[in-house]
Amino acid sequence: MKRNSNSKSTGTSFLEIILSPEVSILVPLLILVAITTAKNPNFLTIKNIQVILRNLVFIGTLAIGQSLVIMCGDIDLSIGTNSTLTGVFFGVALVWWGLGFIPSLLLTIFIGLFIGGVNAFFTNVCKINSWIVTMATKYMCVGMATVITKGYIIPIKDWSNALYEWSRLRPLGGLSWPFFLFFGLIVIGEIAIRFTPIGRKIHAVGLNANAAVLDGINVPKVKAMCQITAGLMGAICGILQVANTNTATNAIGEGNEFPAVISAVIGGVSNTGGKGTMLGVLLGVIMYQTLKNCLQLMGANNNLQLVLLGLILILAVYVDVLKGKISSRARKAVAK
Amino acid sequence: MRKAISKISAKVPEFGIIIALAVLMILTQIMNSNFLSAANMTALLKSIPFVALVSLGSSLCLTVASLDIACGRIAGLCGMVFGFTLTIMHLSLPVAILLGVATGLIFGIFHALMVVGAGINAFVVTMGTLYVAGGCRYLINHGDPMNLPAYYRNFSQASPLGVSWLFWIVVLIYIIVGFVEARTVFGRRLYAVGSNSEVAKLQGINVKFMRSCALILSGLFSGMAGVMATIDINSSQAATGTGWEFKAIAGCFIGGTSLSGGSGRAFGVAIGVFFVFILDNIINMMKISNYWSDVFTGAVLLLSVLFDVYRKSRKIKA
Amino acid sequence: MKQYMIEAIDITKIFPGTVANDHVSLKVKAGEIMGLVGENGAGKSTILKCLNGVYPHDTFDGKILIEGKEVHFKNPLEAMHAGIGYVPQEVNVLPDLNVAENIYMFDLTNGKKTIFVNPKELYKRTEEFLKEAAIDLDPQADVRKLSVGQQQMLMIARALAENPKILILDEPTTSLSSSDVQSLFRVVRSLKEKGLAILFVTHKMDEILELTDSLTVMRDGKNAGFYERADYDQDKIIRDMIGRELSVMYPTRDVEIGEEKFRVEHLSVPHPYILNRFLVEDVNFSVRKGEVVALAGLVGAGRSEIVMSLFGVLPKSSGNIYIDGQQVSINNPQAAMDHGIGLVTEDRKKYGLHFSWSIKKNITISKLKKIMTGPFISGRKETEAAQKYYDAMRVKATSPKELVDALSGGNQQKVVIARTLNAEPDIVFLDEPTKGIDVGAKAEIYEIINDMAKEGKSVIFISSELPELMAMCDRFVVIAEGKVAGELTKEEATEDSIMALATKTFKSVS
Repeated sequence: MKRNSNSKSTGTSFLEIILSPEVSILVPLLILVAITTAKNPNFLTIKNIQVILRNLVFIGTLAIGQSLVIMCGDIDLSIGTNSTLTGVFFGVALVWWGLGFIPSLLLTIFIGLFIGGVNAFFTNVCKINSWIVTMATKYMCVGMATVITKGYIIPIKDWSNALYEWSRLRPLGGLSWPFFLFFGLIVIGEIAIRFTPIGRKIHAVGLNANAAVLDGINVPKVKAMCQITAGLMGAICGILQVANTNTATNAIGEGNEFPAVISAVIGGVSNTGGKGTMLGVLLGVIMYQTLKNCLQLMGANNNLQLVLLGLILILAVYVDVLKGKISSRARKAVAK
Repeated sequence: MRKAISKISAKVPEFGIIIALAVLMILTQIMNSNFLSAANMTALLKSIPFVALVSLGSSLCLTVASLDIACGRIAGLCGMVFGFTLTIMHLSLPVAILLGVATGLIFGIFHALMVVGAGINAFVVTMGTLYVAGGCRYLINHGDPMNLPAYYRNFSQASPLGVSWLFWIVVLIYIIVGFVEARTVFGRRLYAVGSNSEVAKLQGINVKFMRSCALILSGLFSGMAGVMATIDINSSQAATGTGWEFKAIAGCFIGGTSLSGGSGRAFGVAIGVFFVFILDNIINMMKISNYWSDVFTGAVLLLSVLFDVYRKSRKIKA
Repeated sequence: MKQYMIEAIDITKIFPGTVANDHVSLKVKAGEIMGLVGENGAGKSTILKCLNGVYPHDTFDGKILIEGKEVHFKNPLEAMHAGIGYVPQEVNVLPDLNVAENIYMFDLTNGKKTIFVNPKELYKRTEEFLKEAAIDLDPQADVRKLSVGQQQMLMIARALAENPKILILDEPTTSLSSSDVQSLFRVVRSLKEKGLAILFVTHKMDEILELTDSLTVMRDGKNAGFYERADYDQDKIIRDMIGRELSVMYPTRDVEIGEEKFRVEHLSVPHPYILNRFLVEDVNFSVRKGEVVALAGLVGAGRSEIVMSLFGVLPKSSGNIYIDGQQVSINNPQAAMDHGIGLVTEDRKKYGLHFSWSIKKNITISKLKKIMTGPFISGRKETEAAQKYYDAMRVKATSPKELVDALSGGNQQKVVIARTLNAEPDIVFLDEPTKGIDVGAKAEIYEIINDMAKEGKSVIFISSELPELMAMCDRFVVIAEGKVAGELTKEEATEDSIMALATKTFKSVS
């Protein structure tokens, strides 16, 4: 009778730890931090760390939504321009249409959910690849934002400075309300992923959608929920952007899906789906923002940053694929 | 009547799109008589070649069931490399062109290594190179435009048959690629690989090689498009290429290329790209805000993909 | 004395846990149609894969000779070049290209060293070739628009275009209509006239009797019989296919059967990509409480499709389902599970488990409601629930926390069953639950099935191993070609009677 003699679980070999995106990015990052601190002692100050943490909320909220979608095995290229369009709607509702704060807020959230719903419809009902769908909705969102604003920047102060001032508050430890909102979302997300049925189901769908169907999981519904939640995150990001700049414009947000993807991948959300935690995403977002900050202090201009981030994405995915190949080889050896 | 239509569709798969295009153009002409004017049409045709060439490269990738979304920015980068080597390093024209195009080729080879060699998802890899190429455009000459020597204007401003030399060069490339697709072993093998790579392998085709070729050619065409676009406006602009991939891919799908591979041809891509540009033009002519163009292109992209999915899902006869 | 075109001598191929081929030999002469027949799991597809190069020569023992000379294949291409033409069972073509290109993709230029393809020449060459081979296809036809029978012919033409000396046809009539089958036979007979050695794999008795000149029977990975046409005896052949010693002890059960629990009427499942073709046609049967009903039949008969559609995975074009006498509507797996149905699938890699998860997580995913406290998953409840089934299935691992991909096949299957039972179904569909599992684990799974029946559950048992079915089941519904070929009680069911129904052909072959 065939028996498996080696019953050690295969998830923790040394090589795999080395190759995990967290470690393989963390080590170079620490080196970069060291270099930056050497060059610019202002970097490792409390003040700067607070700046980093306050500024990561925009990419952070997008990363939450993006990672949920990636966990299911899809992607959302429209989440960046989602925040553009929802931000524009928010500004327009407040300033041009004179709706009150709450109605504007609700409208904005509705728009974000709607965009997520459109993505969900074309991906799950029409069965089109999510890359193509969200590429199309990405351009449609930014196009709509431009149509609405006609290039004008909407000054929120014409409604009130209250929102802007709210975002400037530092209730605790030098951190802002948006940060705590983001952190709260991370905590909620982590609890959901780890401890609730929907979290289990998301991972099941990403790992093996066919098996998930037979587990009794409604796969299209789970995927749609993630995509619509991503839409909601886009709206939250849009609102936070508007609060931060005290303006609503079509010029902000496009391209932000990219750092969202990077943060998710660095944070251990496998690009093939099925794995990942919100704490990992938090780590990924912190690493991303730190990296950006380092590069800025080192004098790297925006474009060089983009180049480096592109290389990091490719590296992170390469490492992820490599890890997959190693562990499946190990699995096959053990299961014989 | 239905029989006639299906007969024509069998011979010319782009039939439906051509009819839709014709109807659209006629309606627009009725509403704005300047639409089909020589001035408008020639301006349109002069602006098409560069995105069209990039789209051709994308269609080759799609035919083998792969994709390159970095193609637009690669084109822009190659244009900057070309301008830089020509005007700042003062290398000769042939060398500058070579270096510009070679940059595209290098990206293509990198894509092949990552996607075919390492087996990484083509979307994710080309998303990464999109930003690498995109950022690099602004690192050359600090992103400032570089103007080509004035005498190049003789070439770029020339109007053979009312359009530009560059237009005809791209037409020629389309004809060559179309010929290769239809009449060479290499071309037919491309379609085999996209249609059913398992069967293709059993018939002796090196599937990895064919996929790599498609990705490399996409890089090459992007490079050529970037250099040509620079010559066209007589200056290297760092922003060139942004958003091209969207129009390029939309053009592919409208023209009958399928995401699952194995279908679509050069002629179809030409029609598809033309359709996208006409749509833009119509929006201009109808005084609809320019900003709608992306919205419409996105909607058309979705519709054409929808149609493709529907077509592939129909059952075989018993 | 005619020389043998192809000989396989003492082919032995071993997989971890089973001997798929045990010193199997067969030889086919030129101009001969040899049938290769055997039950599911007899080793037919293994020997074919050794012959057509899918299994490289160094992965099995034994010799393969073509025209007396020994050959070694590293891959299918080499086998093709050596003269072996292989037509697979499932349609596998290049749907976006035309007939001529599909046939000649391996040689578009007719041997000339050129990069150009001349379409006119290609079409002419294809037309002549098809005429020669008596295959009726239009060289310029778009393959996507061909019917299934035509696509099958295309695959045969493709194999023939390489001028094979040997042609292997793997269950070619599975998707074909009666008239297609007759066309196929015509073509095969003309190939025989031309001197090809033809190996015709099938499990349909009518086809064997009608078409073949000789017959090799396989059973349990070994040769079980050889017949020349003159000696064909249907009963003897069937007995060769299934006769075996019972080496497995089947546990006994006191049978206590209650009233009807589950009934299905007029179930029909359409073919996923062929119009007007059905995988399952007008099937009716019922199961009572505490009863184990066998869905017997050969691979491809439609048994898996029946349970998959009853579970809501495959769409059905018609079918009324009754549970406890009430009609219910089941269009997706959740509905099925809500009505107390569970499914253990055949393909545990694709449909069964999440391999990078622990045993615990895999077991509990089927009913997360059971392990919740408030809105959250309770770790304690999860461990309890998992432990219950882990123990009941006697899974051999260090603990339920172990990852599933480290388990042996038998234990993985137990986890799949545990997952299904975790949802506490009243009706359980078991699709080949002991496939690919060692003897010891099988015995344990039989105990589990008996326990299910003792608890009053209704069980539908699909298996290709007749002894197992006969020992475990109370009633037998035999499926052939998507239809119910007959029902047998436990007393009426013998291996002969089941096989006779399972090999019934509803399509005429002559």
